[in-house]
Amino acid sequence: MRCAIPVFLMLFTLPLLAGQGHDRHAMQPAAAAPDSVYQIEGNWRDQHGAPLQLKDFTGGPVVLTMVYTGCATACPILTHDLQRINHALGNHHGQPLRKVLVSLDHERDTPSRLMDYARQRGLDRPDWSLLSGDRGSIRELATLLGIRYRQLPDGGYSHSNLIVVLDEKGVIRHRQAGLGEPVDTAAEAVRSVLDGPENP
Amino acid sequence: MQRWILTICLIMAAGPLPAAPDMTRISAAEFRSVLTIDGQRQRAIETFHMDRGQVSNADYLEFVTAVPRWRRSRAADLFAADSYLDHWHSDLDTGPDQGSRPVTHVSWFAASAYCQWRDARLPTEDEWEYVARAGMPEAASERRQRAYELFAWYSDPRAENLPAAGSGPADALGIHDMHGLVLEWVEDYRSSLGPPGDDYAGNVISCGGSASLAPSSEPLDQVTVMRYATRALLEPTTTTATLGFRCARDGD
Repeated sequence: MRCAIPVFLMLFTLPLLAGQGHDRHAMQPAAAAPDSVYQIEGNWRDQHGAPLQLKDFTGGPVVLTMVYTGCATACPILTHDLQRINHALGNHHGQPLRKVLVSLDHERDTPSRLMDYARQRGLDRPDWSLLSGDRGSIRELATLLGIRYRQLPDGGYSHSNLIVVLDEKGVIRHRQAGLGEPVDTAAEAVRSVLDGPENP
Repeated sequence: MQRWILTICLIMAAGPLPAAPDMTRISAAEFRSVLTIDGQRQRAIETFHMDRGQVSNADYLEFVTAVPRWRRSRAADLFAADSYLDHWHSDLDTGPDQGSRPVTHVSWFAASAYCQWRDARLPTEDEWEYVARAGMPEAASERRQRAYELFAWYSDPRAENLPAAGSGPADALGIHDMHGLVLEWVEDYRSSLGPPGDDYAGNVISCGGSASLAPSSEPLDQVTVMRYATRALLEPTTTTATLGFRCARDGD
């Protein structure tokens, strides 16, 4: 809470937000998944250096979080939390769960560095994707997911600890905030994606 | 005659580039912010380039002409509220007399996409705030007067019949309209301060260090605090009649 603005300040700031019209709703006809985060574009490469778009993950559930390899404290726990979600699924449907780590550090986390990280951490497997992006792509994705981050003077980052579960179209099904939290709800969200709309 | 030929050559050379506000160079600097992060108010910015004026409706029209997914009828709800470009007549018609005015009713995502299209980015909060200080007077009485003017504007910002972008006087850094025209998006506007109730302490490792707005008896600082607080309240999809942007770019 210390980092949130005091509520009383809202009283002064509201006039600035004037003019938010709500009278035009003639938007486009609904696309297949209007809430899909895969609508985002950007310049991404995986740990093999291959360019990709987030929409390439379409088709199955995804658990995704944003970390950086120079991070010694929170990020290994977040990575481990993705593994815990995977384990909690057991062998559900026999499909490997896609696990995506997106780096916050556009300066240092090159694909080769992400590959080194994957090897060190036992993530050098086809069901793990470690993405590096440019500054704008990273900021845009983080903003969309509600992940706040800021570079520290030592080059590290302070950042929200958030894991999202995405369905087969890239719609957010669950957000898990914190580190080392119980993963039952996240695993349940993944299961409901795998079971499909017929068996929610 | 030679001058005409030169002019034509320059126009042709500039052909493929989108028309956009001119940029000016801002040298690396340090300044004292109203925002305390990890106990520090001192901030350093690297040399960068910034649009002299805010992006206009005409500038923005070029963007949506070139990039259809950002037209009013096509922009995804995920990236812009329903009132996105509400003041335009249609997808590619800004309406009469709008061209030179600053574009408003644009979300953070839209502003960001426009700047990327120009191979630029939004200014960071620190960059923007550093430049915003440049136009401020030094003498205490003038500073007080300026603070009252800004309070008046923030309390009742003008939303219609805006003057043209870039038409205000240039400040000491050669930048126009940092105050008094429309508010502006910045790249990392929520990276330090969150909205009230945001569970920042619970879901970040170091809470952005600890960020807080420094209390001050200086009226201009109080106005600045209001501005930081207002930004923290904006959702990235927010679109209003009093909120626009300008772009920046790394550089030396």
